[in-house]
Amino acid sequence: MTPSLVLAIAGGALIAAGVYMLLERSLMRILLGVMLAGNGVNLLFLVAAGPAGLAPIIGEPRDEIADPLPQAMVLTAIVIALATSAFLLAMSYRSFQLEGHDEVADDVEDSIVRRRAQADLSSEAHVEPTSGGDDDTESGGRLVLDEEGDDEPEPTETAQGEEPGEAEVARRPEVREPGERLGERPGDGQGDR
Amino acid sequence: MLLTVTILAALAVVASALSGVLGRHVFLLPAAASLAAAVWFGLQAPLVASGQVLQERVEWMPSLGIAIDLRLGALQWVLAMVVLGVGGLIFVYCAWYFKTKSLAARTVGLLTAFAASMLLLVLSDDLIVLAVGWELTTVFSYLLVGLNHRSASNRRAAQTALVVTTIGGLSMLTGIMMLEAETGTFSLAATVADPPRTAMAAWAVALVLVGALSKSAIVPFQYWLPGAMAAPTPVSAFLHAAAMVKAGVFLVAALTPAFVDLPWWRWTLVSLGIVTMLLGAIRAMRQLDIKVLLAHGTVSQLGLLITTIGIGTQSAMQAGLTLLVAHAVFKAALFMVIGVVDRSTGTRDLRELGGLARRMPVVAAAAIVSAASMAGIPPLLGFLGKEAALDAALHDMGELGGLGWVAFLGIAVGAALTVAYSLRLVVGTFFGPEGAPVKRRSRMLVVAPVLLTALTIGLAFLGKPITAVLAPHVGAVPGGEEAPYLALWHGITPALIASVLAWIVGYAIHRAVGARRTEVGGEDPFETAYHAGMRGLDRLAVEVTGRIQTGSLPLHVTTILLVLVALPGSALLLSGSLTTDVRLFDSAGQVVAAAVVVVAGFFAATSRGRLKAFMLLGVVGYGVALLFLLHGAPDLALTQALTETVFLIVLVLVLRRLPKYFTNRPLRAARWLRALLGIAVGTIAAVAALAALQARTAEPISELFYDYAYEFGFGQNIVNVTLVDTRAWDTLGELSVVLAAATGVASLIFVRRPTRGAAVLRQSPDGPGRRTWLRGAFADEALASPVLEMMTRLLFPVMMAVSIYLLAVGHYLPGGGFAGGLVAGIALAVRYLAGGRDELVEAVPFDAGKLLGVGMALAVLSMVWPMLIGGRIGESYKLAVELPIIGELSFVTTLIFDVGVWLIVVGAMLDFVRSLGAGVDLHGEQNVAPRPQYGSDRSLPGAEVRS
Repeated sequence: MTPSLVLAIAGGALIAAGVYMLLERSLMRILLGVMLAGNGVNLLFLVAAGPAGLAPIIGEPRDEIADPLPQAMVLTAIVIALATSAFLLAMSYRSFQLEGHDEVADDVEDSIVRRRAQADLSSEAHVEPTSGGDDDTESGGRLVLDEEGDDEPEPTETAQGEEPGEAEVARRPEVREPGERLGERPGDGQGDR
Repeated sequence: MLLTVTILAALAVVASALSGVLGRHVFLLPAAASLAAAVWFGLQAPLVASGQVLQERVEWMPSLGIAIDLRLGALQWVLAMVVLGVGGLIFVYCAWYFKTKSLAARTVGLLTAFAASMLLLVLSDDLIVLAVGWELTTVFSYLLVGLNHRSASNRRAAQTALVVTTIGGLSMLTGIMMLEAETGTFSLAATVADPPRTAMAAWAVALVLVGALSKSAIVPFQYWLPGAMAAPTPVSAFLHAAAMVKAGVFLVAALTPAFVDLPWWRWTLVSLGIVTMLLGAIRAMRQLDIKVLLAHGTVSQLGLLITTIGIGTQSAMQAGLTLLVAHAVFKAALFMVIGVVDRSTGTRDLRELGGLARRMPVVAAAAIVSAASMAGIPPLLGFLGKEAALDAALHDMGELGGLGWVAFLGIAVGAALTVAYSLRLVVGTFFGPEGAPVKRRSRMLVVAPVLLTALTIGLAFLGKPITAVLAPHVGAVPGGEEAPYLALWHGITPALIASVLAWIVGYAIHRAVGARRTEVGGEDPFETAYHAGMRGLDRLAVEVTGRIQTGSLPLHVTTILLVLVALPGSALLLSGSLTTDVRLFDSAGQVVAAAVVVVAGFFAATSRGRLKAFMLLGVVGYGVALLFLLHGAPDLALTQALTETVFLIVLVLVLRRLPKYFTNRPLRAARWLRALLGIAVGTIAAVAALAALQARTAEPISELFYDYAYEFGFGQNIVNVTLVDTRAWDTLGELSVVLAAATGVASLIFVRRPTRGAAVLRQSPDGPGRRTWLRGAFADEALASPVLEMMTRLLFPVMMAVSIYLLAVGHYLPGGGFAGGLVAGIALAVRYLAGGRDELVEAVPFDAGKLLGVGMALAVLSMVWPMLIGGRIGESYKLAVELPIIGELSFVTTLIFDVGVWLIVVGAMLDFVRSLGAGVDLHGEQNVAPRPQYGSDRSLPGAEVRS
């Protein structure tokens, strides 16, 4: 079986154009890129499926029909592409509605991590040991007594929660300034512009 | 045996649920189960002592040789008795220790589940199942230590315990796999019976030992255990004194008969054991919290156990197992006593405690006897074990040489220190001036520690039976001469002299430093190293993430594509697939269509105008549809053309509200780089497609479709039969995607509405109720187009008829649910274009969600129903009826599936048109739609944001 070169070139060209647009920040352009590349991939499916033939319908000569399996797959792909494109379109519209443009900004959490890396800090999840560790006890070393002496022992696990460690309080403000998190996008993130 | 594990596991689930009803008494359930099982196991003692083995086997993964294979030998019996007997008493203690109103429901479940997994661990002969039990105990330990998760220090202690023991557990699992590679079996008994003697096996055993030592808190892993004291006291008594920390000792004892001959075995275990023993004891001397003191004591005692068993002779094994039992009994009792003290006085601080012997005589007696057992005072079980250990070190001098003396000295010094910290504990708590006041507590709290104390005394006089029951495992050890009988009195031996010296020295140490009440100073170097390591790991993660995960979408996509070019691309070049023979084209039409597609694609990519680019995309789409048709894929061509039409309509509806030009013009240099990457990816994809056809090695499965489509699918359109029958699962997945996307679109537009009901869209109250032939639906007459309306009224029924026709014939001719649904969708869109929102509501006066839901339900039901009549999922049937005049009427059941597809596609189309058409209209009227600015590529955001 020999594939058709023209079809392969057309598929490749569509993918190239699609990738070119996929690498931009405008959501609409990305949508265009996805659709172009999707069309290209669908064409390449046909290339890999074999030569052109008659419609795969029983009644046609069995040796002359095109391979039906890739066709079923591509059909699925077409409908999914329509659904996801509509979703991207709605997202882009929503972005215009909220921000007046549809550019994909840098991820806020990622840029926080990057700043921590530059400042040589640990991650926010990391907890430094506050002391030697031997004084860790189930009740913080001391129990609060009940006023009336009942015959049931005092709870330890759920009654009193230890207040957050000092380190935890001291640790937070060093990187996150108020307003940085949701307001301004990090300025150095859009090098591509 | 398996029954016990199962009952405990089931209780773990049930007990938590019952916790709310029974309160703290819920602990009596696992207590009863454990104690009953302990009795049953106890009755097996004669059988075990005679050297027989009780075995139960349930196949689990036969193809991998993994089975739940429980095997009760002497060693397993000892551990099971500890887990069930001591564990059962601890459960009893729990019932009065915890307080109903603050008892977390999960506590009892976790503790019972721990008991079940611990039992599984010690009984399992299959090493994989053993590892499963091992990890389960780790997980339950983590959850129990972190029971009070509001405390940061508790969380950290739990995490340390988890990380350390899991590292060990992973190492052990690796070792087990390597052992299996050598022996070909996962059976512990088979491995021990015929141990492999290769270098690989030695490495495997070393890895398993790392796991064992980490679990038993041996240097350099010992620091997790004192931290784990953050758990409630009964948990500490069970997990971190009696049972879980013994798992490592158990494993060492189990492997000793097979691997004691390894040159490093004895020296490694004895030296690590001694270091642990001394380090734990010295640190215990410095603690102020009696529970933490006891925890360091446990570390020390575990060191003693490993030292003793590590000597690796028959008498050492006997002594080690005796010590194991002795430790479980006295340490659990001591922990429970501390719990009572804690509950009564409200403190565990030595500076505040004192003189309790007068106030709580029974508790004090239990504590004194148990501590004496720990210190090795006769006539108690601890003395029996320690004497045996000292004796064993010197018993086989010929074989052990210097090692015997090292072990002897180490154990003796350790014994002296043990005496010292035992005195510190007992004297500091129960004697001296009175400290914190005592308040009433339940008498039942004392039951369990007193019973255990009685065991400590009673078992000491049962040297002969203990010797007998341990004999089968002791005898399996190849090293050393036959072990002497355990007895309290062997005459004046070096061991006895060493013991007496240890008491004297220990008392002297206590006199010298035992009264010190200074703050704990000095970091544990291993713990410091652990925390430094964790910090380093975290910093590394931050640095790596900060560099690689920059958060820039284009950069991430570029990385992915570069990898695609670099790896599959170079593989393609190297494989020599480039020399494929190809034909230039299939037909002349193909060349023309392909040329149109490529040119339109190029201009679509370079155009900055929004509408222009999307119109060119439409050209590409129709061109591709033509290529499909020329290739012999009419179904594809039909669907592609229809989706292209739908998308164009939807797109134009949205573009009304967007600026004329695309936002964001990238830099010129970046543009060239992107183009370069695009060309590279496109080329590789095309070459890969060309190569794929040449690289075929098997007959395509679709060769069979020609026959099967008709035989099993009863259809003639093979593509359609593939979609609704052969590969219906794929289609079901696809339908879910469509459903999710449609719902997503609607949610993005109707953000704040609780429902996206049709009513939201109504323009005028009298609108939909009035049905007239030509009603100008648009309030503004300038918008209305009577011609279009007229055409729509005529076309709509026709298009719906076509849609139904396509659905009906799909099984035989090009068409089907997808194409039919898309046609119906276009019909609805046209109606909306002609008559506005009211018209759309009139056409489908209910939620699009209903169509989607019913469609999905139909599709799933049509897949599942054959199971009701004994068929397979997705099987299709043909029903034929002979009718007068009309003739034979046949119906293939997969049509129901296709109807589901049709409904979902129509529902999705309706959602698209309603949201992106009518919904956006609504936004415009409410002044919340974005407003494009003239001459700018941006728009003003909708009012919604500013409010």
